[in-house]
Amino acid sequence: MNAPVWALEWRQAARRRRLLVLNVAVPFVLVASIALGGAPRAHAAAAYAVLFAMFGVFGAAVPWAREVERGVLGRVVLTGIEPRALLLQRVLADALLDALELLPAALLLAATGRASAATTAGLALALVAGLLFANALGIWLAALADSLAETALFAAVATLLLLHGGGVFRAPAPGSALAVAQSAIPFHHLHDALRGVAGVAPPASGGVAPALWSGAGVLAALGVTALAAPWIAARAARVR
Amino acid sequence: MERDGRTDRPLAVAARGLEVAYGRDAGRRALVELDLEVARGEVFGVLGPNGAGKTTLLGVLATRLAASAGTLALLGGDARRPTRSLRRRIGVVPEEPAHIEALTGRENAAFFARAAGLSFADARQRVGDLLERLGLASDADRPVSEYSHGMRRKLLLVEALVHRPDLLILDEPALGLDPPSRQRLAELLGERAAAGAAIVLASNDVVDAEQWCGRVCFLHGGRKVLEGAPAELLRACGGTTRIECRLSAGRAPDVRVDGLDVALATSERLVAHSARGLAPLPALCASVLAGGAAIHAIEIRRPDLRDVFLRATGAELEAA
Repeated sequence: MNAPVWALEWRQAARRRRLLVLNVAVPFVLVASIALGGAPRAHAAAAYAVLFAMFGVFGAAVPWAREVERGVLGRVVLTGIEPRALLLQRVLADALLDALELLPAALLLAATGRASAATTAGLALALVAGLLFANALGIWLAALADSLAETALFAAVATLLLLHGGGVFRAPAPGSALAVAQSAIPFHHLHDALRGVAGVAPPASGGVAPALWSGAGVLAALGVTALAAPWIAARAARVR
Repeated sequence: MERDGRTDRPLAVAARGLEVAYGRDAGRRALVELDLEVARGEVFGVLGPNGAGKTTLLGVLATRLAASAGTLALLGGDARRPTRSLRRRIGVVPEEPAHIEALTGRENAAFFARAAGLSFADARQRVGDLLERLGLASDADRPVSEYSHGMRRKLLLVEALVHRPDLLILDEPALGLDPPSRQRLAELLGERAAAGAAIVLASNDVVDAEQWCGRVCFLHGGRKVLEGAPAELLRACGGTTRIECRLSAGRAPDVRVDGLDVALATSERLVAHSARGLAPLPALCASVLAGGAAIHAIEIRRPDLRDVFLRATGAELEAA
């Protein structure tokens, strides 16, 4: 199988040991300080959701923008690689890498919250889904931006808006249109899973349906990214 | 596929009325009504001062930039809609040696080979061969972050040549290379051209262009001002001897001497081409001194492509 971008991402991650250590240690320390600091559980769960979502979006957007500025991505596009393959291999590899880097922090949450195996597995799934969405979003935002600074601004604003839309900062009335819409944002399901692990009462919209909605949200994000791949690749090939 | 009228070889590049506009309301033009033909097996040089449009032209030929107007066929395909198969037949050496810093030189080259569609085995073998030929084999397993500028430039060449492209686009390919590496590069380009690839290179080095290119064109302000074989252009330039005087003068001297063609005259410099060797030199000096100027230095050499450009545009190739 010829998946050079997938292989490249894993190889780079293995070579950048300092970055790997930081990517594991920093979220772990932040999560530990909140989990062991006695913060209200509901607030703590929201803080974890913000941290994990930002980790995924910024981790995808900033390197993409930097590689565009340096001209590396442009060179990759000009090799004739299929744009969809370039984007999807990158999103999948980076989301899984992010999930592995966040795994110690997630396991700490499960341990401190005395979560069951099923709840912990649910968190793992929600985390992967949230990170797939975050990575696709990060690349979109970097493609829309014209500089590294603009990328960081777009990433911060879009992530916070989507976290808000996903019900992380407020709870819409059950059954309302807003409540239905928020289910399709994978950050909503991630937040629910984090609340479950933290021992907060299960949300009114609990059950299998939110997970299905979240899966649909991830597939939609990947689908839109795949459809726009030629445009995103062409943007990457242009020197800014 | 169109064929070259001179050699009857298929055209690798056929541009008609090519324009690239940019800036607010696309009010500035980096390329203006450019016609260009490069045949398979030809090494073609693009020369011009900074800002002439060389890198823009190469960007369009590499399918990195889209033309605002005109038509461009690359290897028989429409460059406005570059397909994956078209891009896989093109090799590009950009001006900036951007690589994946965390990986070794060998891993970088193998990645670009795989991205261009080579099998794992082919990529490994060809990368090894090219690293050896460009003198990079002993450093191939070091991270690129430890490479010098020259080594990074060599690695760009490996990555551009590894899939044996039918069209090679090279921006300053010899920049930062030592003389032995330049020689090896010239051999590699010669081999690719002999195998039927078209090579388009932009350079500020007129010596390389004269040696490597069968034809060259000069760009100035985005327009093509001259095109031809280097030897023909030099013949048409007239004169066998170039005389340059460094002056101190209140104004540009007005020099009229038989057998001497003044190409540039300012209060600080005078450049003239002589068809009679050094014979007009005494008369030239006398004329300058009679005008009240002082001569600080005189440089005499054979005319080269810089003089061709100076004659055609009145501007200097290296300064503008």
